[in-house]
This record gives sequence, structure tokens and C-alpha cells, in this order.
Amino acid sequence: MILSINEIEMTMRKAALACGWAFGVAEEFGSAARWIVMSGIGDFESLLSLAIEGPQMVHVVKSTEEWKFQGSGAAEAVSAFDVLACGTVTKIRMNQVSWVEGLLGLAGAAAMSYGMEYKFSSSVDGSDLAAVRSDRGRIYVPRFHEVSDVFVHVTPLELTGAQRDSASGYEVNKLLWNRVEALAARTYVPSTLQSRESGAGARISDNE
Amino acid sequence: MKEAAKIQECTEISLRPPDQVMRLSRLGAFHPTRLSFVRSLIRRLSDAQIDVVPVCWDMDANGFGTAVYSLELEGRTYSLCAFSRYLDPSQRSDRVIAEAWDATFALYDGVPDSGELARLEANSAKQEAGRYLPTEIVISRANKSTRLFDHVVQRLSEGRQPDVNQIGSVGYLMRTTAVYGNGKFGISDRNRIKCRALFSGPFQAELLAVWLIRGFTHDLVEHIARARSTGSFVPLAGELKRHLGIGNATGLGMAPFLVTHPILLNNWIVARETALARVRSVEAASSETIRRFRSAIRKAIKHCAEWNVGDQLQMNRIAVMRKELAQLARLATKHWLKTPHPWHRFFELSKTMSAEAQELAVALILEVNGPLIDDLADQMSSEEEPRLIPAMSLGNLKAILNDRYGWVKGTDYSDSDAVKHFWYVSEEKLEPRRGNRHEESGSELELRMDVGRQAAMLHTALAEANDQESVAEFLILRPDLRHVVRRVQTAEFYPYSEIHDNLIGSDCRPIDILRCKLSIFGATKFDPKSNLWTRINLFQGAPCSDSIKDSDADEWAFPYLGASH
Repeated sequence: MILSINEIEMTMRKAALACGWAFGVAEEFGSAARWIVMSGIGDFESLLSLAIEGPQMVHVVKSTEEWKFQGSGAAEAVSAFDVLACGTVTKIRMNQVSWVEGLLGLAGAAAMSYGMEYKFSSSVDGSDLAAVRSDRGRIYVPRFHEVSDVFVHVTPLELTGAQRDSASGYEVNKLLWNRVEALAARTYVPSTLQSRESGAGARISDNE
Repeated sequence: MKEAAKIQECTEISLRPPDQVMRLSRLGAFHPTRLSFVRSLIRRLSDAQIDVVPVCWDMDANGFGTAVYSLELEGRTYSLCAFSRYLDPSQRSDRVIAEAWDATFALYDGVPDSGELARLEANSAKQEAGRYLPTEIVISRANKSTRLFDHVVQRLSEGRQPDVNQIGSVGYLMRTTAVYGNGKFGISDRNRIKCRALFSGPFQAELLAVWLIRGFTHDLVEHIARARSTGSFVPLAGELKRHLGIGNATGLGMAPFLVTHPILLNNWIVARETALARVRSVEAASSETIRRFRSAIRKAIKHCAEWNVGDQLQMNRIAVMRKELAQLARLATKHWLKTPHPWHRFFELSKTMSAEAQELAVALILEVNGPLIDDLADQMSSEEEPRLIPAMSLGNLKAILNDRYGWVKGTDYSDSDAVKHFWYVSEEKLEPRRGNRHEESGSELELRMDVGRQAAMLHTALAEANDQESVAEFLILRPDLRHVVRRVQTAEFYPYSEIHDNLIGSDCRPIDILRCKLSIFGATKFDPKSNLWTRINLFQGAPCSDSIKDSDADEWAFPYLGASH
């Protein structure tokens, strides 16, 4: 189905909230969904999977060489991209990568926000897997799917914000969208007679 | 433009501080100014010398059917598609939870063919439940004013003009109950149209639709009256037509926008306050400006005399303001205004008066200084979004928190009254509502309107944190504070980005937030129906399509019945 970018971002944000993520992190999920559809790397099913995993405590091993995050869930990813943007840590290692497009989406959101290019490479052979910029970058998704342990590092870029605006909206799989909407609906409060009568500040039939 | 910039550089008077301006008691007393969005829209349309062409008028004798109005601007054509239907009176409601309306609308990018019109008619009838395409820029709906619409039809069909008092007391034929833009339900994202000069400013597309809807209501009422009695029908007198704006009924839905768009809020207020500082810095006013100013005061007095509402609190405020305005008019003689710094002194005169009078004084002195300030209307949009600065030290973050959020310290958030309310989206048609946390369920799903409480939580968390640590490291363990950290960092660069009051406290009146936003839109005749709900008038006194090209098209501030345009 055809959706607007605003619908995608706002509904994904609500879906993440429904999965228990803090509002500030849910905002990153919304931006990530936006980046994924605007960059054209695919849909955001993988991002939704990351959201459904829910928030978990982040475990990180720090050394002067690199920081190693135990896992590659959204909490680790958001933290890792923040830390890299500081410039004090040049390389981060993430393992157990499973939701590649979702991870790239969160990197895209960080790239848009911080004006960085996030580069992913295999920790096994050092081969390039992706370079994520605000406008998409170079991404080798098939190869990325074969790797579970990655290095991430950054290069500062001038913020361009140059994403491809679609004049005709964005095609999203209807079944996927139904799942996102169903989750988002959990953030709505059930209506009661009291809320109906007094919650909006007007009478039920405000009219004259 | 250059002159205005130069004057800004030479401005001796600084902007009013955020702690003074961003209080609800102040924001809730704002009046529209010449920087308001309806004013800048009318200036743009007038400058472009647009023609509004009715390309389709397919209405039955009862005024049910389809109308399409098109206008060309900057090489593009836009069309308002209007669909008028019979509505059972029992279904007529201004609430979001309504399921049917007297008329529904779409502002279409281009000229729709019959297939597109049929699609729009079917979907717009369902409003939020319909699906739309990026060719739709705005969708909206409106209900007839049962107090006025039939009266005007009846009078015109009898060959008489409507009762002036009724026109004055209502001020519109229809009320819009929602105006949706920016990607809602599949319509065009703002990104798609923001590069067009017409829509570069905030809410210009939405307000263009509303202005065209106003014209439709004028045509509709005349059409029905003419069909009722062709022989005796008379058209609506131009002066009355111009006084009929378009009503709007609005509730809580408008309020969260100011909280979720801090940079935009900042830019709106900075433009207004910069305009005020520029004008207060003017050393001397010309005789012509003084003449226009004294005329503006007289208009404002008449305008306020016609502003009568049922809400006792607002009516009392209006009554006090009327007296204070009369006092200002007496003091600001031609001679008094001839002496140096007239606008600054006028502003100072108002400072001992009510907030309503002070803010009206602001609107008055801005009104007659267009050449000095109108460029600021182009600086009220923003493409920036709040961004986290992960490298910032916690020591720096603390300093910003202390500097920008001092207003939080006056509230004890462990007090049940301080957290009495929660804002939420109801599952019932996603209507925004506010509940009592201590009596109703659902607070775990509350919207992030508790900025003060969040800032207080951040303050507590930072008290025990290492000042040298970075925000990025801090947020690894405190992701729950990510949103408020981003807000605080934003406030460093955008000092007018926050409302300096507790929005979940027992004493918060959401109507003040609505008044702020709607005044910046350009609404007049605020008519509160509760602390959460108000009716307003948009485009009252504004040029209609037949006068938009007039050289005085911008001269419609402080509309009143009998005003000569």
C-alpha cells in the first residue's frame, strides 16, 4: 500500500513505544523507518523485529582499542552509534547481528542526525559491508547477511539530508503495515464514558 | 528588506526573555499580529494577483453536490474540491468522534478529472477513515452554524440582508472541525511541497484551503437562497460577506504540536519578539504612521466591543481589556506619539495593564510597522529537527538545564496536584484527550507532555553523575532520559522552544496553549467552551476572492462590522 513518510515515521515510533522502548529511543525507530523507505534499501520488517525484541540492558566491554557491545539489538546499536559520533572511540565491535536492515536503518537515523558516515565491515576478513550516510550510501546487503560479527566506525560528513522524496508516496507491504499499526494501536487508551464526556473538553455533540 | 535587517542590527532593545514570554498566562493572552500565518498568506496571494475560478458547480437546490475552485500560482494549479451533503442534525458534532459532516474538502494538487473527483468524494466523506494520495495536499470538513446559516439563507431568499447582530455574534457560516496536512492518511508530505514558495511558510497550505472553504460557504448560502426564491433573492452585501470568516472548533489536538515541535515554536516566538524589539527601537514615527496607528486603535476598540463570549473568565478579561484599551487610546495622542521612541513608550504604558491588553498593544504597534518587520514572516518555518549531541559533557548539559529550565524548580512533582493530568490519544477515532491520573486508567500510555517532570528527573539523575562523562555514555544506562536530553540540548540554541509551565498540573489550562497557536495562525474572537476547547474565527474581514487583488488587501486587522474596506 502507498503511505506517506509522516505516517511511516509516526506509526513506527508508536509501535516501538508499544514494545516498551523509551520515547527517545522510539523516536530513533521512527527516524530509522523513514531512512529505510527513503533510501530504498527495502522495507522495515527487520526494524520491526528489532523493535519487538524490546529493550534490554546494554553490556559493553571498553578498551582503548575498541568498545565491544555484547549483542546487536536496538539498544546496543543506538548506544554504539552515539558513542562513535563522540569521536573518542574510533571503532566498535558488535556481534550476533541478525536484523541487518533494521541495524542499517538505525545507523541511517544516526547518520541523518549526526552528519556521519557509518561504515560496517566484517570483523573476520575486514571486507566492507555498508557505508551508511544520510542519503543512503553504499550497502552490500546480501554480503552483510552472511556476517554476524562486525566492526563499525565513522567518518564525519557535511550534513546533506539529501534523501529521495517520492512524489507518489512510499510502497509498503500491507501485511507488514498491518502489524505495525496493530502495535501502534496499543498506545491508544481505551475509551470510557467518562473520557468520552469530559476528556476532550467539549460536549458529545458540540454544535450550535 | 535590507533596511529592516539594518534596523535589527541597530536594535537597542533586547527581546523579552523566555521566562516572561513562555508562560502560559502570557501565551494564553496572545492576539494575532501581521506576522500571523493568515496575514502572510493573504499578502502572498495578493502579491501574486491570483484568480480563483469556479471550474465546477454541481449543486442541487438544497445546496448538496460538488464544487471545485481552482487557482494558478507559480506555474501550478491548485483546486479546492468541496462536497456538500445532507446531514441529519442528530449527527452534527464538532468533535473528532463525529462520523459525518455537512461538507468535506480536499485541496488537490492540479485540476481533478471526473474519476479523481469521484475518488475524492468517496474518501473525503469518511475523512480519517478514508485513504488519500500525495495529490491531496489538505483534507478538511466543516459543519454549518445552526445559529446563522439558515437565517442567512432565509433572509437572502426574501430579498433582505441578514440581521447584522446575528452576523456579528456568530461571524461565520460554517465551522471547520479538522484541517489535516503533512502526510495524514496518505496525503502529501510537507517535504513534497515545501520547496514551493507559496507553501514554504508554516501551515500555508492548510490555511489556503481554509480561505477557499470560506469562499465556498459564501457561494453556497447564496446558491440555496437563490434556488429557494429566484425572484426575490438578493446577494449577500459585500460588507457582510467580508465580515463572515470561517469558524473553527478545536480541542486538545492542537496543543501537543507546540510541545512536539520545539524548534518551530521557538522560531514563531523569536519572529514575534524580534519584530517587537525592532519596533520598540524606532526613534520617531512619521505623521502617516501615527495616523494609521490611531486608526488601528479605533478599529481595535470596535473589534473588542464585538468580541462577546459565554465563558465568564474570558468575558471578564475582555471587559478589563476594553477599559485599558480606551485608556491607551486617550493617552496616545498625536502629540504624544510625535515624541521620540513612540512605540517603546506605548509598549511601556501597557506594562501595568492586563496580559490581554499588553499583547494587544504588541499587535497594534506591529500592525503599523509592516516594512520594518514583514520579512520576519519568512523566518517562521524550520527544516531543523531536534538533534542529540552525544559528545556533550554532562557538566555542560547540567549547565544548560540550570540555565534554561529554572522554571521547573518551582514544582514538586511528588505532589499529586502537580501530576494530576495525563494527555493521551483515545482509541476512539484517535481523539486527543486529557484525563485525571488519580481517577482514570491509561496514564501508562500518556503522551510526552510532561516536559517539566522529565526535566526534573534529568536534574535528579545528573546530580549524581560525573560531569566529565559524555551524554552518549550516560544514555547507555539511562535510555529513558534520551528524549528530554535532546530537548534540553535543543533549548540551548532555541531559547523559546519550551512552554515554561507544568502541563500536567492541576492548574494547567490547555486553552492557553490553543490560544497561543491559534493566534499565531491568525485566529480572532476566541470563544472558549471549556479549559480544553475553543471556537475561533479565521479570515474574518479578510479579502474575498473578488478583492484579493486590491491594493489594500493587507488592511484587515481588527475586523468589525461596518468597517469600510
